[in-house]
Amino acid sequence: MTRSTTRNALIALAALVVLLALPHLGGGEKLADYIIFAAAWGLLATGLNLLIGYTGLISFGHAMFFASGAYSFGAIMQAQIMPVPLAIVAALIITGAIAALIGAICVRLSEIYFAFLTLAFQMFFHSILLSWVDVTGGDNGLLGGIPTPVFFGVDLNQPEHLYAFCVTVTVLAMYLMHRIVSSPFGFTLRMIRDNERRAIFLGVNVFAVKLTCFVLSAVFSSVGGIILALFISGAYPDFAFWTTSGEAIFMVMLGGLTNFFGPILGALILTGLNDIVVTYTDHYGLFLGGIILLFSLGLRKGVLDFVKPGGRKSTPAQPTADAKEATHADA
Amino acid sequence: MLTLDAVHKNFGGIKATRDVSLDFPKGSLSAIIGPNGAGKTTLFNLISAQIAPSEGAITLDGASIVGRSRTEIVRAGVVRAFQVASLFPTLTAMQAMTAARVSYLGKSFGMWRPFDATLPPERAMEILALLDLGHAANTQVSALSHGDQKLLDIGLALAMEPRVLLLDEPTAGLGPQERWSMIEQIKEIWRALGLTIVFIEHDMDIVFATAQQIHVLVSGAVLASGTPDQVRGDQRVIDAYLGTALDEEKEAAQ
Repeated sequence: MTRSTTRNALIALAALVVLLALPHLGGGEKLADYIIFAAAWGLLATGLNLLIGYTGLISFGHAMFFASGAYSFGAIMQAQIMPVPLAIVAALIITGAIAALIGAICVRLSEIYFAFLTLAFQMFFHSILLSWVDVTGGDNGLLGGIPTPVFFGVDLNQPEHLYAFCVTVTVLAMYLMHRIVSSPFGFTLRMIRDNERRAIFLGVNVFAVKLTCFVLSAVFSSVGGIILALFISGAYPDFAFWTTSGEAIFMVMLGGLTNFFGPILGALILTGLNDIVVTYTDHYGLFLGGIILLFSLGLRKGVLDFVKPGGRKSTPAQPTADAKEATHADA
Repeated sequence: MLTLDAVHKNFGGIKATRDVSLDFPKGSLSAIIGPNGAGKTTLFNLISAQIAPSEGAITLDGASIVGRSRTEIVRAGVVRAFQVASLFPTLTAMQAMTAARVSYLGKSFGMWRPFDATLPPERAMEILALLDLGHAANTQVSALSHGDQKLLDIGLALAMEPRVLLLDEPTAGLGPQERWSMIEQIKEIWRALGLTIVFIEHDMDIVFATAQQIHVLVSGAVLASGTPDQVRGDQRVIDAYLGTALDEEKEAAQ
């Protein structure tokens, strides 16, 4: 282990301890619920940012992987064929397989074509969720709750256990994603984002790298879906609707796509605002639209984009307009 | 080492490359010259598999490289640098070099070890030092000077340990003094690494002072090939190209 990996592992551990302690420090159940909810969305957004921020591919269809995690996990648990940990692994494998199929088609395209194709697959997936009633429950979603039998002494029917389990899984997933973006693979993604053509001329198998990233991104996003399914003990077609993808993209923008922790900050802010705003007004969409306008027109950056990367090599920096022109001029 | 045999390339009705047969012996330093639109860059695009020839054979050490992908050709040892530096603006020079080395060593899919601890940094540092870029190792690429960006572009190609290095107008966009220091750098690389280098160049003074072999392209075809002395004295070359090039230089000087 190098010094930086030891340090990062310790930071992750410390974050986990703090998160586990938070509800006991006076936050109570309401805070715990907020954290689980934000963690689910935060994993969706951070997973999505592997594609957006690190690879330069904007997927408009990530809600389908969020949903595929939630539905496969929920359906497996309802069938009562395996314990929770195995069902989670199975849900991740199912999502990974779906993502490999869809990714193999989508990552050959770029920019707007990639975005629209992922959007199209998502609508297709959404309509399957609505029409395959025997498995998915159709319009109603997975009804009747998701049974979670006790495993290794963990009883997810108890709120404290559920909270501890969800934050542990979230911190673990965040830690793994951080390791990935700090690895040679993570820097290969940055090469492709900055200058795909040159990456090809340096021997990078761009298709294989993009596809691998697409699958990883989908799998991590689906962990968020599994947490949400556990939390609300169900899964609904809305999980796979395009507005869910839109909100995830907005979380990435709001928090900042050039910082690893930007998307999860975006998720914390947006889910927090949601809780506050809906107690005062029904016009949540109007409020959300206002914030989007403020950030995209007024600031043109997310919150953590204002934090300079400095010496931190794990943080991706966004190309400046000049630099982008310089590299694209020869294309 | 690198041989083109009767290569043709047609874009629709336009013959961009006509019956080009060239040989670049191992360890040679060759220049390709010719007026704008003579098909010089097209030739590089053909060799590096950015486009496929319509007819003809391209071989490396006797083995055909036609039909192989761009990455396969890079792996076979034919690597190019670009006329306009083609870099990774958000990385530092050292990160860009390391990322290229990661690709060369087949570790692009390593996900566990940290990027900066994956490889020993010596080779990347050596290449940067060879290009006098050691001072810029930790500078973000987008903040490098124009000349340093062009050098780094060559550095990235060298990170792939090429046997044949294709340089598309390495001095383009540089001032008169920078041009000569760039070409000195290239000769130094050539001597130090024993590469086969092919470069496209517009500055005739540089070409005749540098290249061992000069190939003159006009309208997609090879008009003449030979040593600088042979080419300088070739009446066809003077008529077709050098005459006008020299006139232009005179005009520019006046």
